[in-house]
Amino acid sequence: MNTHWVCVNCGYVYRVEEGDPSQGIAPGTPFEELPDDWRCPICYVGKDEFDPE
Amino acid sequence: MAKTLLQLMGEKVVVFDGAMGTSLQAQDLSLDDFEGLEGCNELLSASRPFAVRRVHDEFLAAGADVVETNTFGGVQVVLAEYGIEHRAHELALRSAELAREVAAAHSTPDHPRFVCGSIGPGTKLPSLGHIGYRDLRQSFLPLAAGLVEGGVDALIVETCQDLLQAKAALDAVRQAMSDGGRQLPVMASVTIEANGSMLVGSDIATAAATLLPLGLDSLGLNCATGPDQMIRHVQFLSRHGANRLSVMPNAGLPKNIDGLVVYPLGPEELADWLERFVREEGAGIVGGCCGTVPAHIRAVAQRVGGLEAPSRQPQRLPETASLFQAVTMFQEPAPLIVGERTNANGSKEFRDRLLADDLEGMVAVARDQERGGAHLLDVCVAYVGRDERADMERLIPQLARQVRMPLVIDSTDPDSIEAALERHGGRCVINSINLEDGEERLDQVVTLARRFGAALVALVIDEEGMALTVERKLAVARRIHRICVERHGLAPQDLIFDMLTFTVGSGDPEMRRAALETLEAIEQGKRLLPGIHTILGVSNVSFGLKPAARRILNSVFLAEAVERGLDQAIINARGITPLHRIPDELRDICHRLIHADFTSNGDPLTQLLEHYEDAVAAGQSSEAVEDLPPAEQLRRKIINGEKKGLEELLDGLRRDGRDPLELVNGELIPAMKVVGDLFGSGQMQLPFVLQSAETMKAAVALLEPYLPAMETQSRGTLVLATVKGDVHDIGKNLVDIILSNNGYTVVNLGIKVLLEGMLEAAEEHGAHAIGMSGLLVKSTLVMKENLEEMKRRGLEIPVLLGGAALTREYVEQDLRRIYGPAVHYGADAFAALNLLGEIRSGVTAPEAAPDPDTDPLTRPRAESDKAISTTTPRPGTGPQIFGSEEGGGDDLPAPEVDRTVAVPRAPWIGVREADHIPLEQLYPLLNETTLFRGQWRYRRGKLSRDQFNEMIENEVRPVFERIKLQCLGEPLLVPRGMVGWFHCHSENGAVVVHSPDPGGEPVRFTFPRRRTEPHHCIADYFRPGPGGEPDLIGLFVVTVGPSASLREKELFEAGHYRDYLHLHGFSVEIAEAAAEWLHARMREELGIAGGDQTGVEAMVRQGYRGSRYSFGYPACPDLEQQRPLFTLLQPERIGITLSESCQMEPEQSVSAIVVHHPEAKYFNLT
Repeated sequence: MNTHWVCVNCGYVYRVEEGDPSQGIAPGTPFEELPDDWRCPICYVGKDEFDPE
Repeated sequence: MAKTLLQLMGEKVVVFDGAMGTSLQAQDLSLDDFEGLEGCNELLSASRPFAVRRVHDEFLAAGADVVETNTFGGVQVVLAEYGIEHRAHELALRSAELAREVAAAHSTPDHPRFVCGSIGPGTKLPSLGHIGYRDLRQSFLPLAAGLVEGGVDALIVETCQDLLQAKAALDAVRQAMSDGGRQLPVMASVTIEANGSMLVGSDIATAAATLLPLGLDSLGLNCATGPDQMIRHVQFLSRHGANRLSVMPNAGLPKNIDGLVVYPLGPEELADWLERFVREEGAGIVGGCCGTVPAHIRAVAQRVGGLEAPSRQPQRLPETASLFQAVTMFQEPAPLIVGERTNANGSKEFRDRLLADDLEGMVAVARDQERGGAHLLDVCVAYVGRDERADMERLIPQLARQVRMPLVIDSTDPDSIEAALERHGGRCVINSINLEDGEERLDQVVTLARRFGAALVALVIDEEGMALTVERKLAVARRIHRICVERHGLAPQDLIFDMLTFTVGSGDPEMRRAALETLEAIEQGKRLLPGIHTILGVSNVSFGLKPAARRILNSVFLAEAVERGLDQAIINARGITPLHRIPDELRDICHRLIHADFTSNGDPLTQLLEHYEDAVAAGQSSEAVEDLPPAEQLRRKIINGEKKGLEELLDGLRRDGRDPLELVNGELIPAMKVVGDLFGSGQMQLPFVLQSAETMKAAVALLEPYLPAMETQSRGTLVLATVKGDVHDIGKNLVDIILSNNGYTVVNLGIKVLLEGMLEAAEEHGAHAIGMSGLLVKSTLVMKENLEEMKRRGLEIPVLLGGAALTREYVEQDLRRIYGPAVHYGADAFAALNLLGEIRSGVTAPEAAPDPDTDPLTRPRAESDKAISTTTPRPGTGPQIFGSEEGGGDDLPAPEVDRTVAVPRAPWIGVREADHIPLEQLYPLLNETTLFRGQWRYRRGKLSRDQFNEMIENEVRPVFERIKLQCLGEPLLVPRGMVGWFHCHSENGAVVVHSPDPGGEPVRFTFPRRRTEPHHCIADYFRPGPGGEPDLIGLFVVTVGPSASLREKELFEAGHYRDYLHLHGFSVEIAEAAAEWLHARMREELGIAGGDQTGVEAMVRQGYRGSRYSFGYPACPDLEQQRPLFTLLQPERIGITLSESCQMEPEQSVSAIVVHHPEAKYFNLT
């Protein structure tokens, strides 16, 4: 399981251990379980633009 | 007992005086006063001492603690221009005595006053060959001696423009103090020009790396610019400089007004800046340079003269330096690589060039090392029958000027080492010292290292010979360490120990433990002697084995040594295989050989030898690739993207009677289909697809003479264009590449194409379809308008649409309602290829919009792989699909914004062109993730982490390094920018920017408010008005210039597709990096950069105060707002224009507004 995913558009790293508090994502949430409408908190592109680190 | 200057510096902020020259000029002296030598200020100390005395007197009365002697131009090379070089010593002595008299008169027990001997740079730059080191040092000696003799309290080598010149001056100062029997504090102060580097190109990090090892009591900055342009450099020295930091700016950048030089900065303004440097950066020594008069010094002394000495803990970085860059002595990831090919005994190529006296050829070998990934360059010109010293004298100045890597001077001859050090302005490493001939010889070289500030490689060899065991290695290391550190005062970090290794490949049972002893010594040595670095000539471990075996054993040994703490490796970086690519079994054999394990699983040396015996046999069978049928070989060449040997292969196939057209249709196109399938299933990365397409193009070009005319062989014709108002080229060109290399004819009309142009071309060429591309949200609307017009005209020609802002739903639902089933969504270039195939075979044109999940035409690549679509949007490169039609939102309640945040003082008001933006300073800011994975599209996807890293290291990073070097060598990317600071206020969701001209019209930016809570709006971050204190807004626009796009076009047209993608992506990311760079500088100018975090990811996360917003992005999607920005900055002056859709040209440009409010961060409108 990949715990870090990078946004290829802006370079933001989603870290499972951090989650994404800005969109109410709890720490520990695997990337695969993020809601489909979740977006990069920096540049707002969708999950498709993320690549496992 | 009276206080010393150093004691005073420990207690309070010490104020130096202002400009001697400016103050003397103000006295209206006559030509007689100068004894006919006008401009020779130093002479006045003898001819008109009262004039000099008066300057000292005024500065001391203004509150200066220290005055500098009137000897700035007292070096002989300057006095020689007046023919009075013989008076250097006398004038220095007289100047020192004069200053001492006046200082003594002002001195009280409560306020002691001091004299600092001033040593300016002179007029000749040794790094550029104007003068030799020895002559220059000699020229400084009488000045330094006169000052020491005349009783100065300290010496300052100031306005340094060339580090080699500074070293010569400091060398002379040490000599004079030693001769005169007085040890005084020694200060150095460098001058960084407005372009960010010293006159000869060294930046502040390079200056610090070079000068700090010389044991300075303070290091600082003076002259060249006003304080505002010194911030970055002051900050660097604050963190990584000497224990004391001095700052002595000019009174601003001089202006020429009616033929008079005028310095714009007033006393209070200078005091403001220096107070900031004292309080924020810990500058303990302040004063003024050109244009600063007693009034300035009075203001400074009043403001900061009573402050306690700031406490600082600067951290000196263990660095080496070329003339242009500092390089740390360790690298992350380890090891630092020392290139070994510029060695007359190790490289035949280099030796041949040395023997031919081919300097250029030797420099070329050096540069090749740089491209190969070396961080430092080992230079050895010792060769039997040659004059080593003379060869060093010739080669080192060339390397110093032409190579960006710091040098390792590899010699055992102290004379040759000295000759090399005298010719290099940066910080070199000396390779090496040892105790083979006892301590005297070692002392000699260490003394040189101390004099020139060089680092040292120490070999563990003593009078008994090379140390083989851990105990001996450590004992010798300890002894050398003690001599260098205790006897000579070197810092442990300046020592790089080579624990020596010997071959484990000889079969000599005595030597079985050779590698293991080395590993142990590295690990224990670093524990025993904290701070030291280690280096190793790694390949010695495999001496005597076959090349293939050596490569593997070296690689395993290096990995292990790094694990044990090895910092540096002398090695050919290209000769290392990553561990994960070595089969486990082989790795295990090497591991046992290194660890002298001959018991657990047999004899590892025999096993290694046997493995490579077998490998020879295996190699023979692998040559069977060549025995494959030629058609299969051709197929592989296309799939692997190998152009080599293509011509022979095709000739052979034709000779065998294969029909050329049948070869294209039966072999080449099916091979490209495999490429497309590999791409679609995520097994092949885009750049390799392009390489296959290049090979395809080359193959077709070779067959072309034998093919029937174009029309008959073409599978169909597509007219392709980026729509009106849109300048984005690359997505459309990728479609062109894939289609035209799959047998289609593509009529590529370029960018910003009106519908009329597409229709005419379609008619003229009898096109089977039209492809429209565009990145912008607005382009999707243009496509819609185009389709409406085509419908009105009753056209039915199939249309393919592609672009980042499009969605399948929009095309297949909204747009099909207008144009019917003949409009198609091409998610990527291969989708376009499939669609065109369907159109030509007549199976497409469904009656109704299909469900994307079940549509057999589109499903395979439906949603996952948009890679060959156009550039994806991101802050700085394109807009978002959502929010663009949003606006207003005036009815929504504004969230609370802290109104107590003070508005930073404007650095200046108006518009300026950004100073020269140095490309090499942008490289560290490049975001590798977005470049590699975003722009270049090397994605990990389903690859394992190891596979991905292997691809990055083997395929991507070499390209990256090459393109970086290439762009430094030729002016492809020339970053330029315009910056503006304006007063402003906010007003109902708008920011009203005040004109800098009195009575000028204000300019308005309007910003939408977020629909959902919190209802952010960019305007909220500015103080409301009109009336009240105005706020401050920054604006900038930056570009890489037009050359990149021109070169991209050439590459595309020449069929160098992969290079095309690489250059395009790189240029876009450089524009992004330039925006980061400029934004950082603007924060510094505002004085809000204190909390800036470092690192590329911190920048992504906005780890700084405030924000910068670009139009077309989530928080402010309206591109029309580019117009007021262009009205204010007028970037047309530097070649940036707006298209009718408000896009910038060149495409690689970034514009933004800069907001200082700490709560301002990115947000989106939905």
